[in-house]
Order: sequence, then structure tokens, then C-alpha cells
Amino acid sequence: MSRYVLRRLLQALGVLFLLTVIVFGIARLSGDPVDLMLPQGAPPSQRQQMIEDLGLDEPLPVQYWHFLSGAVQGDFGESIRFHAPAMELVLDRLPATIELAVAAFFLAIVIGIPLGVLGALREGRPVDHVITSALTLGQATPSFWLGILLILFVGVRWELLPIAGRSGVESLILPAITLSVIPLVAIARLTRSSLIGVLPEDYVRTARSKGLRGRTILGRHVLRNGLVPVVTIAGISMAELLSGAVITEQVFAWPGIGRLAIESIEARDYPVVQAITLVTAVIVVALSLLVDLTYFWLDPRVRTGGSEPA
Amino acid sequence: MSAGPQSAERVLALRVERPLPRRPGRLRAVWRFFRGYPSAALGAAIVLAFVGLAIGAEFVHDRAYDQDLIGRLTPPAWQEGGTSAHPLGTDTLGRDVLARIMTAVRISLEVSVVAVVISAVFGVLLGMVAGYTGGWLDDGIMRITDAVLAFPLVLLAISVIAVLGTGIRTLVLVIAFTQWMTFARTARAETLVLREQQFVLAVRSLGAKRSTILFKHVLPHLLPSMIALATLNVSIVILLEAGLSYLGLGVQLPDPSLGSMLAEGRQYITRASWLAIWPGVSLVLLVLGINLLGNGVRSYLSPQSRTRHT
Repeated sequence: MSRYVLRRLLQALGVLFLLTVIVFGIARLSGDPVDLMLPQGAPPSQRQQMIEDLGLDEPLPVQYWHFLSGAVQGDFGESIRFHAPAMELVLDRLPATIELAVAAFFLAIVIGIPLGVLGALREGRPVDHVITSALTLGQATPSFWLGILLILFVGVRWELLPIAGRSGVESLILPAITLSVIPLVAIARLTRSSLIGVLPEDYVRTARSKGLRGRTILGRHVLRNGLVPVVTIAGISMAELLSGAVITEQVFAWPGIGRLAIESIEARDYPVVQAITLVTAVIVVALSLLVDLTYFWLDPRVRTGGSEPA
Repeated sequence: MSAGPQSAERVLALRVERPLPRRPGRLRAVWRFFRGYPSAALGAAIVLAFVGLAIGAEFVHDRAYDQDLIGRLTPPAWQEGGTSAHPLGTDTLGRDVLARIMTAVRISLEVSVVAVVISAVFGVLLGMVAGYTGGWLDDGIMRITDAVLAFPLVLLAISVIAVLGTGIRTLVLVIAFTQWMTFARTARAETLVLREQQFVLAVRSLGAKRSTILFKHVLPHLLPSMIALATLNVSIVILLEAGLSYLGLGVQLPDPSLGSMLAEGRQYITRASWLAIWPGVSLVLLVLGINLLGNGVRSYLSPQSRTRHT
């Protein structure tokens, strides 16, 4: 057991290391940061001073080492726009993004799993066809367009809910619905197909022939086995919610890290962009680690090192 | 299977396998496929219609780019104040919305097809070499693939574009970089199976070079499933491009993109709702069509259905 956990931990660290190399590399690809920060026509002495201050005269591996040791301590340098530590800006905006992601995740689970279960139990019947078609349509709908439609009808025409900003629970509803569509569709589809695989199993037939109530069979035998793969997709979805929030935040002017990222890109504020990319990456990698460990705990086949999970 | 039997393969086919059944005419095969998968036929019809629109964009170029500030924000023809000269109305600079949608579809299709082809070629090459060679090379390539899969890709794409600047070429390359992993993994898995097949063993024992084996004997058998994968990938990439363009990081003005048109629609949502509706409808239909077609091709090619259809 500990061997699996250890291997998975090392793998996660490897991914993060690779990501720091990429983020560092991208920043260097952009050309000379000094040109960006100094006004045009600055004297060469000032240029030289700045190059030394930023450590740009040192060899690349040394520069990378400085970047990495700073990043590990949460130090990405100062924001060019606000002259405040980049990390502080990101941590300031992070709660709004997490609030939105958690709300969307909740919707995706609460609506997605029952839809999938219903589709599987009524496989091939009209209800199932309606659900499957709706999911196919949902898969083709870009979340930002759904957001715009919600703004147009719920916000502008019917004036039911606020359409921008973050002020109380009402302002959370539309962005959360918008963001939930992609994970909702993924979770519902997987729940449906996974349950369809479980329903004809021998243990379900046995439970039925024992005369157990339908609800007991569903809860004890079908869902317990059928929802194991859903845990994986749910974890991946949570991770995607965090990075996918960029567009939704933009549509609803939601003050999270996604919107901060776009603002920072427009202002060429690279330290902040780097901080956002790496902070999100750490959360995503940590979540996927958590999912794999949960899986390990849920599925005895992984635990005993027997057959691979399906 | 699209490739004809190779010489060594044919020799062996006489002894080891049944001779390949005579292929029905291509048109008849296509007809049979669409009769078996009506939803794929619907998808193909939608995709064809959009390809027609994209070709037609050639003839409405001026209407899509020429500004007419007097005729700005004309509503669609069926609404009050609309004219039949602009069936779907005009945008904030008086450009014809229908012509801009057609041009946007064309640009979007070009960008996505090129990006998908690049990522498919790159991914299939890597996967094929990894699967065929095995050993440390296989380990290394697959580790990197898994690592890249663990990245928050949308965010990474955004930060790369932020640094390298916007432009069609950057856009295509960045999108391609986010998509090659699925091709690599699928191609590797299939190569592992093909490697042990009689006809590959036969050409290898005849002393064929590795490149000959890979390109003449393995690759043709990978093509069908890679084409199905690529079709579905195009729709993912179209959505990605639209999302990036919505954020202002994709296709740049004055070139139209369904994403940037929707961003404008969001801005003018109270005054000109048609700007927020029709580009979105086009996007959903296009993606839906590609998904229906791709899903049909995929289930046609999957092993379970192959036995049913031959």
C-alpha cells in the first residue's frame, strides 16, 4: 500500500517540477523582461543596473534555481501593475474562485448523478432518450454562451437575478449554473454508462431474487459499485472547474483568479500570471492525488495490487 | 480497413487468416454506415452545411469586413426595423452578422483542422514509436504524456499566449500542444497489440527496416481509429478556440470568430440580443454535428460493432 502511495506522490512532484520548468521557460521565451519594465530610451547604465538587480546576468540554471526556491516559498516577485507581492494578489482573489467552483461542483453532483441513475434504470425508454439527448446537447454548448443566454433571459428580460459582480448568494446562482454544465454532463454520462454495466451483474440479480426492496438494491448494490468510476471523473471535474472558471468569471465579472489572470495578461503583469498558473496547478495536482488515493481506498482491487482498475 | 494488404501480409493471409472479404463499393459502404447510424447521418448533414457556409464566406468577404456606421445594430430581418439585406442583422460597426458568422466558421474550421492534424501527427508518431520500441523510450514518452495530461491546460494555453502574443500561428500551435496526448496514448495502446500480430512478425522476420514496418504495416491499421478520434477532437478544439477568442486571446479583430462575436454580444446584451444569440446557435450546431458524426464513426469502428456489421 505505502509503495503505491509513495509512487503516486513522487509522480505528482514530478508533474509540478515539469510545470515550473515550463512556466519559467515561457517567461524567458518572451524576450528581455528589462525591455518591458524600463521606459523606452532609458540610459544603458540603468539597464545594466536592472539586469543585475533581477539576476538576469547569471546562467539560466542559476536563474531557474532562484525562481524555483522563490516559488516554493510562494514568492513570485512583485506585480508590475500593483507593486504588491504577486502571491498576495492571488490569495486575495482565490476565495471567490473556490466559492464559485464548489457551488458549481455541488450542482453538477446533485443534478448529474440522479440524471445518470434515472437514464440507466429506464435505459432505452423515452425518459432515457430525453436525458441522453439533453446531455448530447449540453456537451455541445460552450459554457460561456449558456452564461450569456442566462444573462439575457433571467437577468435582462425577466430581471430575476443579478448578472454581474459578487454580492450575496443571488449573484452566485447564474455563474454557478454556467460553470456546472461541463462537469454535470460528464458526471451524468459516466453514471449512466457505469450503472448500465453494473445492473446486469449477478449480485444485482441475486439481491433482486432475495426479494430486497428496489431502494435497498439500488443503494447497497448498484450505486456502491456503479459510482466508483464517478469518483474519478468528479475529481477531474473539480480540477477543471478551477481552471475553467476563467471564462465564466469573465462573463459574469466575477472577481476570482480567472478574471485576475485575464486582467494581468492585458497589463503584461507576468509575475501574477505565473503565480496563478502555479497555484492552480498545485491545487489540480493535489486534487488528482486525492482522487487516486480515494480510489485506492474504495476499490480493493487497487489496494491489493491485483487487477488494474477498469 | 483503408489500406490494402501488403505483400507479406497477403502471403500469410492465405495460410493463417481467412482471405479478406471483398470490399463492397465505397459509396455502398458509406450508405450502409449512415443507414445503421442515422444520428451520424444527421451529424454529417450539419457538418456539410457548415462546410458549405465556410466556402460561401469567400463570396461575402466584403460584407463581413466593411463597416457601415449608419447601418449599425440593425436587427434581424423578422424584427421591427430589420431589412432583408441583413438577414441576421448587423453588428456594432454595421457589418453583416450572417457574413461574419460564415467567415468565423471558416476561420474556426481552418484553425481547428490544422491544429488537430498537427497534434494527431505528433501524437501518433510518439505513441507508435513508444509502443513498438518499448523499454525505457516507452517509459519516458508515456511519463511525459501523463505529466502534460495533468496540467491545467486552459490556463497554460492562456499564459503561453499571454507571453508569446496573439496570432493565428501561435493559436494553432498552442491548441495543438494541448491535444496530442490522447493520440499518443491511443496509438501506443493499439501498436502494442499490432506489434504481436502475425503480419508484423512476418515482415520483421523478412528483415524489413523498423521505419518500413511502422509506416507501411502498423500505421495503416491505426488510421481508422485515429480518424474517429480526430473528428471528435475537432469539436473540442473549436470550443477551445471560441473560448480563447471570447477572452480576446484567440482570433484577432478585424477577423471574426464566434467567440469574439459572443463577447461583443455580451457587451451589447440589452440593446442587441441577436449579437449574443446567432453566433452561439451556430457554434452549438457545428459542435453538435461534429460530435454526432464522430460518435457514429467511433461506435462503427469499435470491436463490438465490427462483428455486427460484417
